[in-house]
Amino acid sequence: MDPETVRFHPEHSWVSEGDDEVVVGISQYAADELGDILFVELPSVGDTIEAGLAMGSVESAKTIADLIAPVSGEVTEVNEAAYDTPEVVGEDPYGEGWLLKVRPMEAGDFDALLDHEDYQASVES
Amino acid sequence: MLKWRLLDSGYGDGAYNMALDESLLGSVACEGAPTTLRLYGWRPATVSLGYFQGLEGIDRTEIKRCGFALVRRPTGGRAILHDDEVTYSICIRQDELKAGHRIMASYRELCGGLEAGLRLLGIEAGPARRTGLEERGAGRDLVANCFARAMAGDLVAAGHKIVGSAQMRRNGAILQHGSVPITISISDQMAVMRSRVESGAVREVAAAAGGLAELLGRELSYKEVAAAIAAGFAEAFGVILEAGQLSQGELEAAEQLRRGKYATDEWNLQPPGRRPGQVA
Repeated sequence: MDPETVRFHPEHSWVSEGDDEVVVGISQYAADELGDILFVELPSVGDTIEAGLAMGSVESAKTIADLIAPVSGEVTEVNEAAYDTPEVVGEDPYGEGWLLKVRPMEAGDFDALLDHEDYQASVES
Repeated sequence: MLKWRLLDSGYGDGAYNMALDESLLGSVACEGAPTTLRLYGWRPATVSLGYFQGLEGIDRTEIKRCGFALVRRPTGGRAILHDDEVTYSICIRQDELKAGHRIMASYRELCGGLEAGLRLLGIEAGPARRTGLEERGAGRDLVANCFARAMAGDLVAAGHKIVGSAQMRRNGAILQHGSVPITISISDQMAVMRSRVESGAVREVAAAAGGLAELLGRELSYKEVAAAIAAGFAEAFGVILEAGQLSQGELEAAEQLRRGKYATDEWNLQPPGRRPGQVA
């Protein structure tokens, strides 16, 4: 996934653009901050996630952090690799380390999020 | 000068201790409670597991035989046997720290309070210099014991890991808590935390961890260590620590968390995020 084409929640998750199914992951900034990712906890297929609320959690060497959902929707697929080899989430957050595929519920969610430039500005400020 | 709340809860059981820490995080994050430094001990002695930690290497039969208890923390990391120690927990909003939005930097910033407290006791401690897990998967290896491994940022003194800390973040606030052992019983540690590399782990804990009394070569009380940690945080952050009380809401939330989460086998024995068929 090209980070220039996805949108970001200020709490460091991203979502791809789409109507029927979108992909969700964590930002490069979050991956860099977390460092070595040891475990992830994600919802199951069929669960509903809600924009701005925790959709799971992640453990790195020194912290447990909530993963914040960038959009609301129903989970259609969970990345098995994130469970089996959690380090991939940190190493390739826009590619192999994606977290969920989601059927979005709110059409306006994507447009309300930050583009790459604004997100970068927010984490660098 | 900025005021923080100081709570010296004394000794409590594991479920209560973890429930109160989580309750305080919620209160600081969402209810406008002040930054809170809590100090406490554990009765009975309790093995706490990291949030995602499986039961491999944990001997539940021996834990019961010794009269110890078992609880799962809301924070990550490996198992700790909490016995003769002072535990600190600090709940603070991210924006009240210089590095609140950075994970390792905020961890180090908060450890500055501990360093100052330990200095008051005569111990010069500093962060372990490892820059990350030394090899892929080292954080998920078979050694269950927190004190068998010093990770980057852990406080060490005279070559020993002397504080085991971990953080969780929720709703813009941080809970960081950690164990400051006064004495460590290697035999108790290894009785309840066996691993497939048991004999190696015995040596690793003995070599890697040290209690404050052993480092200083004198006896120390809970009260002396707790007072030094509180004074250290006040000095490092330039704040006044004012002895405070729990609010009714904090007490009620803690009781709900104790009964519904931390006192249940469902929470304590089953790490989250594991699916049927997955090895714990």
